[in-house]
Amino acid sequence: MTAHAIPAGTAVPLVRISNVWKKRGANVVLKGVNLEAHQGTVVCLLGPSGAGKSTLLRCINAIELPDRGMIYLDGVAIGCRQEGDNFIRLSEREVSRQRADIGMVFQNFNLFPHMSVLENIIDAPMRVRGESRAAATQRAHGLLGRVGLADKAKAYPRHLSGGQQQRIAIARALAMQPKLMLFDEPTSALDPHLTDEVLDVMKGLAGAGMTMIVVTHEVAFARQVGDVAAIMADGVIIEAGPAREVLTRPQDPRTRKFLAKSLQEHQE
Amino acid sequence: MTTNVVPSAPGWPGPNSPAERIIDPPHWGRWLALAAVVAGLAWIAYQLITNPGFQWDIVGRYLFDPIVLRGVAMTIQLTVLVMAIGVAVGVLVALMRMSRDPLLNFCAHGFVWFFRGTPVLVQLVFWYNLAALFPQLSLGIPFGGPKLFEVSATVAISSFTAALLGLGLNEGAYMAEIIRAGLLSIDAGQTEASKALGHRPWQTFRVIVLPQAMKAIVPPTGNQFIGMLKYTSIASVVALHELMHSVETIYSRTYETMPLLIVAALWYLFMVSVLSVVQHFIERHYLKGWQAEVHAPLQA
Repeated sequence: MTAHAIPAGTAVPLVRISNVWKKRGANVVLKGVNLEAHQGTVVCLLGPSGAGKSTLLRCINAIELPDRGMIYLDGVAIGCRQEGDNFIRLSEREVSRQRADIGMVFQNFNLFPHMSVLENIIDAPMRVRGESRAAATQRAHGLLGRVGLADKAKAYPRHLSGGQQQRIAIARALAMQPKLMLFDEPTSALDPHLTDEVLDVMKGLAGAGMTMIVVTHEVAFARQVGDVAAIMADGVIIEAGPAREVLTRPQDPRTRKFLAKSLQEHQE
Repeated sequence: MTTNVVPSAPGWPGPNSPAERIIDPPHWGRWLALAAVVAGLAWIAYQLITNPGFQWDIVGRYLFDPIVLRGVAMTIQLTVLVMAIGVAVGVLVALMRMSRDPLLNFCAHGFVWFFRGTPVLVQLVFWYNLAALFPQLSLGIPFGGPKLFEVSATVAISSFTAALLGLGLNEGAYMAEIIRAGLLSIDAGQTEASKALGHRPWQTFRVIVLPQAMKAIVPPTGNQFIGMLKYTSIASVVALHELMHSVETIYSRTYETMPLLIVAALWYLFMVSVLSVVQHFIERHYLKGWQAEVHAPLQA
């Protein structure tokens, strides 16, 4: 595996995924994945379904735990405590502190239906970070404006469209002021005409310098916004590098096949 | 808007021309049924007023009799405490059954299996006669070690504690299944989203999962509560003076069986009615976010 080009001026990666293995039942989902994400870059994970993209993403905030290998955020092992050469698994309570610094956006939004939009956004900053209601609310209104939904603070998720719900979910994750944002196929559950409003918010976020790891099928988005593209197949990264290069002049035949297929689907 | 275009199409009626009227067909069956129900209610009312067997004067005399009122108080006290034990045990057992720890899982399974599988009557009598098995109840190190605290079982287990334990543990087994069903109805994505925001496990349960599960938990729990209100009468076998037992002691002396059973029925009806109203308000609380439209200006 060749290391992708490191953007100038940043030597230590924000996220380092080092030889991660994950088994689910008899099925080996991840077979030694290595990947880095540098501060302020957008890494897009692409590949056929079943390649292990989502599993890898879910390992980064320890919603799933790798069987072997390690993921570091800012040099700190995720889900584990390092003692010498040993890594000791943290309790859920301790892991929750690490997760607070990592925002995650899900395919199915997963907004809390029993809370209003505002409550969805301010709950974690208040409960986890101990912020005052006033401070959390003020920032929530700012974030709602940023995702273009300033008038929806009092609405309940059930009454919003999929695109609006996903933008709220992004605002909710941002309210925790994360170091890193993870996106798990954020537009896959949306009607085609609603994907742009979500992708536009993500573009704005990338432009503002947020470090993002995005699992997506949107090749055009990855080419335009991604700094790095990594193509996964059968639990390994088969090709990684500058997004424009990988997605326009792929080296691996499997990447070529995947890109040709998704291009064809896009045109249909 | 397309509606501005359509009426101008040739051959279409304009906005001022008469539109077709739509009339519901007559509901003959409904009127017939109404007549039958009215006739039935009239007959019941006639019987209640004219049949001397009801002995309303005696009902009136005993309705607020101190013995009956004490029975009502005991029934309420027992029901509330039993349900409190049932819910607490139920939450604990449900969480144990849903945990990934095999030992907790096994224990929870065993608890539900045993307390659901044996008649509550047997459990009541067992607790009441605990002294036969363990004459002394003590706290200390088992298998002959030193004891910190010791009490005679006949002193510790009264009718009331026997009823509380027997009914409470049995109810806990049923509540565990109701609560588990409620928790299972919540999508795993809710837990994941909550974890991803940094909520601790207890916060995820209390703030995200449980309030949503309550929507599915409250109606069957209300059912259990109302059932328990009447089921406490089984505690009369361990000589506890709840409502039914109090009424029995009176009519076994005076032979005024019918009016005293009516007294009991009226009290049970009254308590159930109060509970139903309470349940309505609790259900409404947990429907937050699911009502059709709460805030008017949703469309921009």
